[in-house]
Amino acid sequence: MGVNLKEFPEGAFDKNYLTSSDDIKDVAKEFDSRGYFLEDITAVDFKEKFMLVYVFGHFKEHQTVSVRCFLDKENAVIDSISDIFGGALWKEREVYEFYGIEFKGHPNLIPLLLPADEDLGHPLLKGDKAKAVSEIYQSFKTGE
Amino acid sequence: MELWKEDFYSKNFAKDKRPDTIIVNMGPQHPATHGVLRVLTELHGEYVVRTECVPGYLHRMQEKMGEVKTYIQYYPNTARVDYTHALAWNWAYVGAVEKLLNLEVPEKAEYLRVITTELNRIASHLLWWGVYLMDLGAYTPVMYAFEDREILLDILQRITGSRLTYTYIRLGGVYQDVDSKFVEDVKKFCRRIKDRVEHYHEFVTENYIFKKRVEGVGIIEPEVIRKFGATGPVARGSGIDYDVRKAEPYGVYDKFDFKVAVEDGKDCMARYKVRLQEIVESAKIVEQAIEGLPEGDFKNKKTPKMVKPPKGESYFAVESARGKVGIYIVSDGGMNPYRIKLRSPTYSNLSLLDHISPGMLLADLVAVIGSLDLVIPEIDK
Repeated sequence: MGVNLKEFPEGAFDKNYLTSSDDIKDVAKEFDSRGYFLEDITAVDFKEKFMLVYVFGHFKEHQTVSVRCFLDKENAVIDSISDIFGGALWKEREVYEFYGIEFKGHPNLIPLLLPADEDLGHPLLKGDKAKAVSEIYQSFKTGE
Repeated sequence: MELWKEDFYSKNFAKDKRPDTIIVNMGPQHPATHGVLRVLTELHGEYVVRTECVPGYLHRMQEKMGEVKTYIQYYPNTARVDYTHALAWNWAYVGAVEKLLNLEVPEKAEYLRVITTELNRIASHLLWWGVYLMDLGAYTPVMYAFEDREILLDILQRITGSRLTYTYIRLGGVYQDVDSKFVEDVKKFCRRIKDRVEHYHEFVTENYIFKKRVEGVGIIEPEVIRKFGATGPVARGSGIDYDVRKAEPYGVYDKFDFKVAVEDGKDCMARYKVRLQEIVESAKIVEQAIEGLPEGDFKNKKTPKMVKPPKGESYFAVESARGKVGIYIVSDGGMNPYRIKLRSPTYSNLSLLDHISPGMLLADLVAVIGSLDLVIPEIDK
């Protein structure tokens, strides 16, 4: 593949890749051109970073692929892929309201499941209970 | 004071209103939205200019609950996500945790899982069938559907202990073994339901008024399905041959001979036909599974009482009556999941409504919402 994708050894999906947060749009375009559908977008809160997980499925090749990238907490902004996959419109809004991650270029980034006129904060942030990435993924300890 | 002017979503939606249109707020309390879904619609006469769905009225913070409860404590919640096909969610969650624990499931338990899940799928489709026709103005079919569904719920109640929010599929197996009466009842039901579906076709599918309401209405192109990640009967109604039971088989689904129901109509009628066909296919699977039901344990005896999986992550996908259900768990080695993500099919299926609604009649919008087979708690999580 012509885009920045590195194998991620500890993922649970059929194939697991790691990319940089700057390249997410190119990655989405690549998966779009190869006929994948967007199954899900989610995030996990770690002590030093957010891990964003994009899950793609395929109607014919029958495999589920995850692409993940790490995002700094101070400046949690990433490009929206909603212009490539319409399904990202809702999925990005959900990540935005639960984690406060901003999706640049999203046309309507307002809360989806939480009440919009009340400030409830971002409920899935771990705060003090957050663990380091290396505590869960061994490959980060060894620096692979 | 005009109340709507105070509401965030109304204000946000009204920003782009054309001068020649009116905004009609449908829901959250509306008989056609099956729960509490709100759809903001901008109308030009009888025609829809654009819509915006506002879900979230049933939000129960399922994912947050997963992070603060232990694995076992959280388990009954899965039945409340999609209450009409609870066993599929049971299975997805249990499957993901079993993968983390590396726990084996005895073959008999796998068969029992297939039998009960497929029976539950039939019950779910029957409910949809009756209620969808009620949306379209036909009152009688729901009586027929519920007559069959009652028999089914009685069968499942005897064995699982509940009628709607099942917790039958347990870690390492199932809750309890079945007896010969269950086997007989299920066999009898499978024979019955096949005849009944034929009867349903004569009774409703050929009905002139019904055809006028659904044929050519709510066309969803396969490309839109792909872009929005829709799955299940919604995708199969648009000619996409994708069923997790066949594509990425789990449990013992690869042992059974069944067809994936696919229709090329792309409209509400196609989605309707897919679901009726699926009832028959599910009955076929159940018959084969009952026939081949092996002897042995119904639960792995080594199933731990206290669930504390090792560090890592797992993902398990199943096919529910509405599409691909996926559960993604990240474990930090503790008593509760570090992160649990529920991928619900209706969430993706509904998200395409705003894309396809422009140009539709308002009455057709109701027909289309019904044809997506929405279960709101699953969308709102």
